[in-house]
Formats: sequence, structure tokens, C-alpha cells
Amino acid sequence: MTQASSQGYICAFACRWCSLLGAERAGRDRLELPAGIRLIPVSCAGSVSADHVIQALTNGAAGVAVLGCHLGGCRHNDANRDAHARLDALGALLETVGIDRRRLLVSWGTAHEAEQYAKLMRDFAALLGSLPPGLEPAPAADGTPEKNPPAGPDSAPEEDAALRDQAAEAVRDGGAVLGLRRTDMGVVPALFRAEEELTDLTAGPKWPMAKLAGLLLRDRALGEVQGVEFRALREEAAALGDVPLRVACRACDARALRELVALRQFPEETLSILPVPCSDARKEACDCPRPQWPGEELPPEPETSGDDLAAKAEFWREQFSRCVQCHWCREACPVCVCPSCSLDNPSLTPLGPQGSPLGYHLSRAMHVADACALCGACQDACPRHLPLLKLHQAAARALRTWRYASGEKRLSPLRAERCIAAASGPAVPQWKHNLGGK
Amino acid sequence: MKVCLFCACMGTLSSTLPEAALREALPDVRLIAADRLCDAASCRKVLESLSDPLPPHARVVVAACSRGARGAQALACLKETFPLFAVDLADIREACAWPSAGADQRERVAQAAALIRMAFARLERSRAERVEPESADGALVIGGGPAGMAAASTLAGLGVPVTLAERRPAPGGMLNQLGRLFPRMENAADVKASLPLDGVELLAGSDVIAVRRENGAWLAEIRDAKGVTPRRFGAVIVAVGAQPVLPGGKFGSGSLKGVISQMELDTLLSAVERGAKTPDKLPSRAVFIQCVNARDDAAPYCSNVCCPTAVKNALRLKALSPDASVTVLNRQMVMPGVALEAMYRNAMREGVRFLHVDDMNDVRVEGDGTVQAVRLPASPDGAIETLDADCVVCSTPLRPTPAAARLAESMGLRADGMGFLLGHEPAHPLESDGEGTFLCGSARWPAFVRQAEDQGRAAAVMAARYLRERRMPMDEIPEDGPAAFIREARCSGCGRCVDAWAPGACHTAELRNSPLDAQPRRRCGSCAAVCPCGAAVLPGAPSPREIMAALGANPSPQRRLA
Amino acid sequence: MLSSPHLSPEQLSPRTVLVVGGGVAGMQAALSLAALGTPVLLAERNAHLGGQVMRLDKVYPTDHCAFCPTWSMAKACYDAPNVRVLLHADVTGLSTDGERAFAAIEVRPPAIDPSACLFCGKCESVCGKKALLRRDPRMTWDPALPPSVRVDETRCDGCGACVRACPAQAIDLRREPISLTLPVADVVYATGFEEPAPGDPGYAEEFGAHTHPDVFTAMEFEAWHGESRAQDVLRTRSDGRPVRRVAFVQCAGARDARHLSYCAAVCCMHAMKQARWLKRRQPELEVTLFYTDLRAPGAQQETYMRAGQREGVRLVRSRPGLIKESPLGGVGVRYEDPATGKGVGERFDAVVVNGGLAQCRLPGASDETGSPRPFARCGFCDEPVDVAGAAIQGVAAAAKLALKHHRPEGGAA
Repeated sequence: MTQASSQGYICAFACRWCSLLGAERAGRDRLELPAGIRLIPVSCAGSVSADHVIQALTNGAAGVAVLGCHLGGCRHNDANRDAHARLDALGALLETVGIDRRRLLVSWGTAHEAEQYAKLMRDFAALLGSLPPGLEPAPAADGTPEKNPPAGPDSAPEEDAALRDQAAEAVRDGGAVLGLRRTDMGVVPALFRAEEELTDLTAGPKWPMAKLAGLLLRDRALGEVQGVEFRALREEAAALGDVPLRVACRACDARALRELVALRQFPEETLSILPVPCSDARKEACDCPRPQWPGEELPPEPETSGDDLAAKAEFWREQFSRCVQCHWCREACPVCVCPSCSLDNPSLTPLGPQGSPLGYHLSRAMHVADACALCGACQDACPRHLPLLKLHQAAARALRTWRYASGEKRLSPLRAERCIAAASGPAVPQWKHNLGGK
Repeated sequence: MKVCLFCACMGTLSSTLPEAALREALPDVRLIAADRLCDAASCRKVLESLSDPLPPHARVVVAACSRGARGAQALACLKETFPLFAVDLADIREACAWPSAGADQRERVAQAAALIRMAFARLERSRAERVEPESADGALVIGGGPAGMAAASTLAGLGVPVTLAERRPAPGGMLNQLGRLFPRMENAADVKASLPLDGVELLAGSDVIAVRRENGAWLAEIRDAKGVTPRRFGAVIVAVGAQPVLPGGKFGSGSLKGVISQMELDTLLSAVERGAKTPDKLPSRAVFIQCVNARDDAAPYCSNVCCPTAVKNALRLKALSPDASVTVLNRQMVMPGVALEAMYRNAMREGVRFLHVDDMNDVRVEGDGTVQAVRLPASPDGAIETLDADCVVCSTPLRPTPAAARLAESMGLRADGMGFLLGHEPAHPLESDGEGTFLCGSARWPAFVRQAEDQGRAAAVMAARYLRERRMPMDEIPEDGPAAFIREARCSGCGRCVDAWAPGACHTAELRNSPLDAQPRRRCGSCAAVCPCGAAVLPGAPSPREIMAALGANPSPQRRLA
Repeated sequence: MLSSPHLSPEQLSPRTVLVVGGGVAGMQAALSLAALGTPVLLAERNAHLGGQVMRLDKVYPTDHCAFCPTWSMAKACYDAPNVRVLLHADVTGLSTDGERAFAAIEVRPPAIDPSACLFCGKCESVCGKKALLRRDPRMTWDPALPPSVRVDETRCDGCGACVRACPAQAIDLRREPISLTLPVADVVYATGFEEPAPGDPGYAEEFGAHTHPDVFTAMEFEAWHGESRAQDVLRTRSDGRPVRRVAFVQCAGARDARHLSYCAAVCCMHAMKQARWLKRRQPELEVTLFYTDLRAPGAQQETYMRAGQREGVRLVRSRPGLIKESPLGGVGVRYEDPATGKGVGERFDAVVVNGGLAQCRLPGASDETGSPRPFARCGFCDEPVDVAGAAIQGVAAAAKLALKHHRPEGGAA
């Protein structure tokens, strides 16, 4: 079809209580508006999800506008503030992959303000026109996956010995240990009940233990084994009954397991960890930002400038062109807990040659942004070694600016109300670009 | 089958968006041009006069003006014929034809076609979904003061099963304590008699310890002499009232004889009015001190009832002993409205003296064992006045009861800094954050008996309405009605949706197996926006999947990201 | 459901309750009655529902926009199948035969039939007198549903060009008022309040309202300073100077035996709301509030007042005696300084006179002998209340009526 404008259309989500009426009135008053605005009524700006924005941007929209009521004027308990935080995090993520965050406009206005709406849209269209074209979506890669990723350095014998000592203690107390067993085929996860079995227990190379432990602990909480992954081992664990279970895992896995507690997958008291320290070689090999047990700080945000965008766009275009859409990153992610994933929706992530991996990766990063433990399981699992952790770090950094970090006791993920100082009260509102001007 | 009813709008639309061009742009759509689709009669006529009638399974998009103009009416007309999930509106007038009137016609037609295709894509994804929440029919009224009694009485009158839980042995609350009520000076006993509790299940001497959400209903733990009984209710009305703050040693209360609280004066006056013998005699030189422990930094609020109560008691005292002198020291006499202002003027006419004092802390009560005088702060010219007094009456505010805090905690209701429960001011002040929970009386803010009664009645109507709408099929629920729900099979139980609501509106334990309760005023769709599984659904609003489908409806050929 | 002005008694169910006035109280009464199964006839004088609240910019104490809650109530009334909304309708009187009441209603149908107008603008383009308006000139937003163009009768010369241009045949410049007499089972009054008319001489003389462009009534000021104002910086209506000092004068015409003897209950908070929004939008403005008793009872209102003082709104406990154009420019206000007891004069760029909110009359509420009829009243016309109070009273009035008319076998709830 013909594009209404050479720059692509503007997709405008408008709250049906205020901005939509303002926009409709602008039309009724025949105010001059840029061509090609697709106005989408929503029940509240709070209902606009990151997926919506990503979907619009990957379907030819040059820009997305999210228009809600004035801050303090939302009839739905300030849901527009929620949207603000959520979309701000998304803006940071977009910038990471080389898309100018000014393409996402968040603004607050009311039904009275038709003229302000028209001006805002004209300015937005002008801004979009002045931006250089963004990222060409990468063509989907074909062919077979590259060989399995290297598992990284293996554990030293003395590390294994230290772990075995601790495990022996747990087993002697009548408990069971979930850990890695060294076999001829490499390491596999296993349950250890008797001291003599522990000779095979190893700290091993890095292995996504949190994924398995999460499933296992959830089974315990639910009292039944649901799903097919690791079925045999999980049934073995279920047969243990009430025997205390300790999970031998690394700091990153432990972080992920704590996230699962926050996601209400199992009660905190059922989680008991046998710490596996990371050797210096391991730390070197990992992109993990916090290999230390109480480890804290995220790496500093790299300096960005406008010119960087093009370089980033090129970098990610090249990276995503190698994605084979196997979705192993999702399967390995310990905090992906949905029984059915909305990313399997073919309208969002079409598979095959016509599919662009960009939308899938951005959406996935946003889905887990508030729970991501930055464990790197996704990137370890990737057969093409895409640097996926960079995406998650960007999202985590953006949430940090809203004073939220995963692992903290949360009231609500991606929710701004408690992030924005409560004292902010009603703002003196105006239609303006609320995200781009940073 | 895709059918587009194109409203030519008497030439208003067809002049800028020619039917033929639109037909060309939408080759896979059966386009029917007509006029006045927003009028039910003519819309029916259009549908009936089709040579080839539309099959019942057709997906119909009406391309017309915006919802805020007549689009909503056109949609309503079509819904008479087609199921709700099979019709949608594409606004091609306010969102396309008019703002791009100056643009090239080809672009305009393309834009209109894109908007229509988006509506079809939405419909592809839309389907009738309904859940039948397991729900209890009855309403629980907590607190048997005037508000609670009015609520229970109204609910019973409307035929709703209602239970009234009152902590004390008998209902009545303030009506049992007060003699006469301002501004009309009616007898509290008469007002109580006007709120019959016929048909109400009265649980006197029962304390509601906690109320929790469970499986689509409220589970109340009610404690009486026999023990704790759990009971299920569909709606809850919180009418736990407020309690007076005591003067707490201020102005010699407790140490000087003759310093009493307004409540004690009220009791004394009632006794004398009844002709009962009282140990204390009526004061002859009374000084009322307003705003004791109120409107200061510790309690930064005006209690609403103290000024009218003081004026009422001043008038009663004057009526019983006309020679008594009454002086009311006040920061402001808060007597808003017609009736209260009239009462205030009446008191001035009757000789009650009102003195303005900026800061009550500058007032000194003097006496030796018994009150003798009240010394006022210096006036601008330096003069100091001392009032001769044999009685000082302290007007103290009301504060929330511990029950309010307990219920707020267990039910997830919001409270202000002082602990009064918050509704959705200003348009829906009695609706709280909790699903099917309504507030009335002094639990929200100190209220006169008459206000409390009105609030009780209003809360009762809202509860009755809520219980009825909750049983409606999803597609008949009004726009602002209850209910968002979770598709069980897709839910991981992570609780992001719960967090996106105010905490306490629903509880995690129930997430996996039952509908998620929306709050009446929330309904924003945040739950759906934060749900990564696509399990949260807000009926009546376009679902995220529908929106996603709409966005993917017009992929640009070059698929370029801007 | 929007009713046609030609409403015949046969169209109404005998159980119909008449609600007089479509403000917040009336709308809430109508919606609640309808939800409890009682058909309602909602008679509103203006071209749209919503009453005075629809003209407000913000509402205290939450500082929420006034428009969206009110508009959604109005929309619910238009959508409800058993609420008939009769616009442009004046209830002129009421007679009873003991069993039922008969309401005399005069409907003044507008020249442009809102149920037919397409808002296409053809009439506008042909009118030489610019007599066609897109919205109520008193408002910045037209809440009428569906939207309709209106004829400004002060400008229209009746040439009929618009009648010929209208593709929908919606215009008839010679529509006559229609007198209806409708039987109703009961009546709820919710007529609200009105500000003093420009012609009110006592009010004008003393308070200067409507005599000087920079003296505003509360509602005028709301529209002038509100969100949708065209100006970024407030400028005087008289000569366009930037506004620096604004005064609010409370109890102007209220609590005063010569005007209204009562307190209108809402003005203190309303003035403080306007003052705070002025300071929020233009912190450099000097805002003074002259009050008699600062009356802020109710939820969160004391905190609201305190916040206003913290934000720099100056409170003066005094009742100005004279508000008049100053020979030195601006508007002069004379008052007694509470600290010294001496008379002082100050000049302001804009003065808002607050208080004279008169309860609207209740047509037919009393019989020929003057004794009141037993009909329900709610909202400001009964007792001055704010938005929240009006909303509560509307529902409460519906509750009383529903109980009165409830038939157990009907299962109203």
C-alpha cells in the first residue's frame, strides 16, 4: 500500500476519557494535522504495553504516541504514571538497539485541548521527519545453528571438594541436594540423597540450574508435576516428599530463584541454597555483572551520543541477522514462567523468512525486565552467541532510574507510582514530549 | 466474511472519500455505502433492503464518524443485529477525512483503508468471552451506627439479603448517645426508629475481625461470644464510624472540676431535657473552647461536627436556663450551608457570644480545684479580657476507630494520613479501592447524622447495583462496571497484574484458579499491559491481542523500522 | 437515551420518575433509579447534561479534572435505556391529583436539531453573520452528545441560507417552544445553583461584578484561567497587561441579609483551588484570599488549605467593603486590616468575587397555599454541597424513592 507519508505513519494510542476526545475534537474542528495518524482508542494509557509499541515500530510506524490524561487526573488510580515508567524503560531499550527514543512520545492532555493536540502532532511529525532512518530490520537467518556454545571453564578439583563437604553435611541431616553430576557425557543435573553419591557432585561449568530448580520448587508448592521439561528428574524430586531440598547453584542462579519467589512461584521458606562460588576464570568468562555473592552494582552506563545510534543500529542489525529464531533464549530463561508465551503469537513474532527477530527480542527483554537476574542463561543458550545480556542490562538500567531493581522486595513491577516521589501530586500539565527530551 | 458499512454521511464523507476509491483499496471487503447509519430506524432499513442479506457470522465494520460524534450510536444500532464481538467502528471522519482534507486524495483513501483494515484485524481476534465468577449474593454492613443502619435498612427494603454486624450489644451508635440532633433538633430516638431493621440479619455483639478476598467474594471472620465464624458476602459496606478524641489534660481537663467535653455536656443536657435527676447542675457561665486537639499539626483536619454541636448545645443550654451566659471561643465557626448558618444566627440572636481566637494555645483556664475564669489572648490593642466561668466545655475532634485500620489492612482499602478511609473523590466518594466495597458515615470523615444516613442509603444502592451487575453476562456490563479476569490456562500466577492494581484488591492465592477482581474505578487495563502471558483480560476494552492484531494489519512492504 | 422534544404521555411508563436538573446530583439520582429498575425522565434546561460541574476546570480536593467523571456520568445517562434525557426543557410547574403528579414542561427546541446535525460545517460556511457556533460560548469544551452546531440568536438575521445549505435538513430557524404536560409517579429536584445574573444591581454596585472586565465571578474565572485557556501568561481582560496580583473576595453576597443569608459552603475551597492552580501555573503571581470564616470541612480539605498557605497564598481575615476600578489602574479593594483594625486599600489586576451562589428555585415544589409538597430534593438546591456531596445525595434520594416505590415482587435489586 501507499504510505501516507514517506516517513511511515504515526501510531497514536489515546485514552478514551480525555486525549481521544481531544484528538477527535481536533478533527471535528478541522485543525491541521499531519497525514497518516492512526488513532487507537485505549481504555487508559495504562493499558498500553511495551509490546504494543514494539509491534507498531516493527510494522512500519515511524513513531508511536501514547496520550493519556494529565498526571494526577487519571480516573484509574494514576495508571498513566505506570505507563510512563514502563515506556521510559522501553525507550532506553530502544536506544540500546539504535532506535531513537524520541520516536516514542508520551504526553498528557485532556479533551479540552484540541489545539494543543494538533500542535503536538505537527511537531512530532516534523521531528520524525528530521530523524535519520532507523534500523533496517535484519533478514531472518537460515541454516543450521552453529555448534553448541562452549560451556566455559570447568571447575577446579578443590572447588568441587569444598562443595562436596557442604553437600555432605546437608545429606547427613537427611536432606537432598540438587546439583550437577559429572558423567562421561559431561555434566548433568541430578539429585543427591546419599553421601556416597556425592563423589560425582561438581561445581562444574556454568549450567542453567535456576531454570530447573525453579520448576522443581514450583512443583513442590503446587503439590504436582506440571509440564514436560526435565520430567524424570522432577518426578524423582516429587517422590522425595517433604525431604528438605538444597540447591547447589551460583550467585546468578540464586538471584533468579529469589526473583521466582517474588513472582510467587514458590514460598521463600522452601528455597535453600548451597552456594557455588565462581572461580576467577569463570568470572572472566562470564558477562555477569555481579558474580560476587552479595554483589551489587551494575556496570556504568556507556556514554551515548546521537552518532552512536547509527553504530548501535548497525551492530544490532548484524547481530539479529544471525538469529535463527530458535527461541532457546526464552527456554533457558529461569524467570520466564508463563504456561503459554504471548510471543508465540504469530502476529507479533512471525516466524520464517518474513519474520524479524528484532520485535521478539525487544518484547522478551521487556517481559522479563523487572524480574531479570542478569544471569546470562539466555545468551549462554544462544546457538549464535548473540550478546543478549546487553539488552537486559539496558532494561535493568532504565528501571533503576525509576528506583527499581530486581531482587528488591517489590510492590509492583514496572509500576511507577511508588517510583515517582509520592509528593509529586498533580502536575501542571501540558502536551509535550515526556520521554524524548532527556 | 468482511463487511464494511460505509456511512456517506449525507455527502460529508463521500465527497472526500469516494466510495469507488475506497472499494478499490479494500478488494477483499464487501463495501456497502449508506446514509444515516447512526439512526436506528434507517440503519435497520439499510440492512433489510440489502439484496444479498448479510450472514449472521459476518464481521462488520462501520466506517463512520468518531465515537464522540455519532459513531457510538451507529455501533449500538448494529449491535441490535450482530453479536457484540462481530462489530466494530472505524473512525474515518474525525481521524482521517477531516484532518487530512487538504492532503492528496490517494493518501486519504489509503489512510481510511488502513483504519478499516485495523478494525477488521481487531475483530479477527475478538471473541465473546465470559466467566461466571462464583459469587455470594448477600451484603455485609459493618457497623450499626446511623450510616450502617440506613444502609442495612435500605438494602433490606430493596430485597437484598443483608447482614448487619455491630460490635455493641445493640445498634444505634451515636444515636444512642446523643439527645438531640442539629440542625433540626429532632430526637435521636425518633431518627433511630425511622431506620427499621426488618428483614436484616442483625449480629449484635459481633466484631468483624478481618475481611479477605477469596474466590470472587469477601470472606468475613465474625467473632461473637461463641467464637469466630467465617461468612461469605458479595458486597461489603464499611460503616465503622469514628470515636471522639479526649481533651487529654488540655485546659485543665481532668484536674479542674468543671472542665468537661462536649459529649459530657450533651449527655447532661439530654438528661435535664428528659427531666431526669442529675448529679451536676447546668452551668450558668459556660465557655466553649473549639478545636481542642484539632486542626493542629498532630491532627491536621477539621472534624466537621464540632462547631454545629457546640452551637446546638449552646442553644439547648440557653433554652433550659435563659440566664446562663455562653461564650464560644473559636478559630472559625464552620457552619456551612443554609440550615447551619441559620442555626448560627439564631444562636447569636439568643445571646450566645462568639469570640474569634487565632491560636487556642494562648487561652488560659484559671481556677483552684474548680474552674473560675478563662483568660483570652491579648487583642491587637493590648487589652486582655478574662471571662468569668463555672464550666469549660472542650470541643474535641473525632478520629478513626481501630476497626477502620484493621479493615483497611485486611481488605486493601486506602486510608488518608489520619486513618480515615478514602473513596474515589469527588465523583464516586463512597466507592473504595476494594471490589464491591463501599464506605459511609464517619469512617470516611466525621459526618452529621443526616449526612451519615444519606451516605448509608447511597452506599446501599451502590452495593445493590454492584451485586446485580456482577451477575450480568460480560457483554452487558456497562462501561464502568466491574470485572477484569484471568484466563486460567495462560496464567503463571506471577502476580504482576495484582501489583499493577492497588495491593489487596485481589490475592495471589486465588490467581490461578479464578477470575481476577477488578476494582470499580480501576479498570484501566494495566493488568493486561503488564501481563507477559496474555492472561489478563479486561472485557469491554480492546484486548492487547486485538490491538496487536490491528497494528499488524498494514505491514508496510519494505518492513522498515522507520 | 436522548429523548425527542415531542414527548407524549403514552411514551412514558406510569412508574416514571421525573428528575429536574441534569447536574451531578440529578444524573446520579437518575442513574441509580434506572439501575434499580425505575424509568426516569431527566429534564435539563441546557443543551447538555453535567450542570455547573461541567464548566469547572478542576475539582477539589483531589485536583482531578472535572470533565471526565462528569462527562462519563452524562454518557451513562445517554446510554441508559430507561433514562430519557429531555434537553432544553424547563419544568414550569407541577400539579397533583394525589396519586400522580403532572409536570408542566416547556421545551425550547434549538434551531438546529441535535439529533440530525452532522457537524459538517456547511451552515457555517454560508452564514454571513457568523451566527453559527460550534460550542456553547461559555465553555471551552462542548460536552453535548452528539455534538451539534448552534445558532447564536443575537447575530442571526433569519436569512435562511443555512437552512438551505444543510444536507441533513436539521435547521429550522422558527421552531416554537413546545409545552408538555406529562404524568409522573414522583419527582426529584436537583436544580442546583446559579450565579447572580449580570443585571443584579446590589451585587454589581457593591462587589463590582459585571461592571469591570477584571472583576470575575467564580465560574467566569474558572473558564478564564483554566487548562484550556489560550494564554500562557494571564493577561487582564481590560487592557491585556500581564496579571501580577489576584484577589479572591469570599462571602461576596453570601452570609449577608441583603443578598443571600446563608453560606454557600463550597466557595472557600473553590477559591483556594483556583488560587493554588494559579500559583502552580504561574508561581510568581501574588494571590490574596479575603475570607470571613475559612470553611473547609470534609475529607482532606484542611490539608488542602494548609498546602495552599504553604504555597504562598496570602490569607486575610477581612470582609472587603468596596471593590471598584482604581483611578491608578487595576481594581481597588478596600478592607479592614485585621491586625490593626484600620481601613486599607490595595490594587489588584484581577478580582474574583465569590459566594453569591443562589439555590435555584424548585418549580412546583410547593402548592398554591405555599406548603411544600413531599418531593425529594438533592444537591445544591436542597442544601449547599460540593461535587462529592451532590453525588452522594443524588444516590441517597434515589434510594428513598426506590424504597417508596419498591414492589417486592418486582425484585428491583
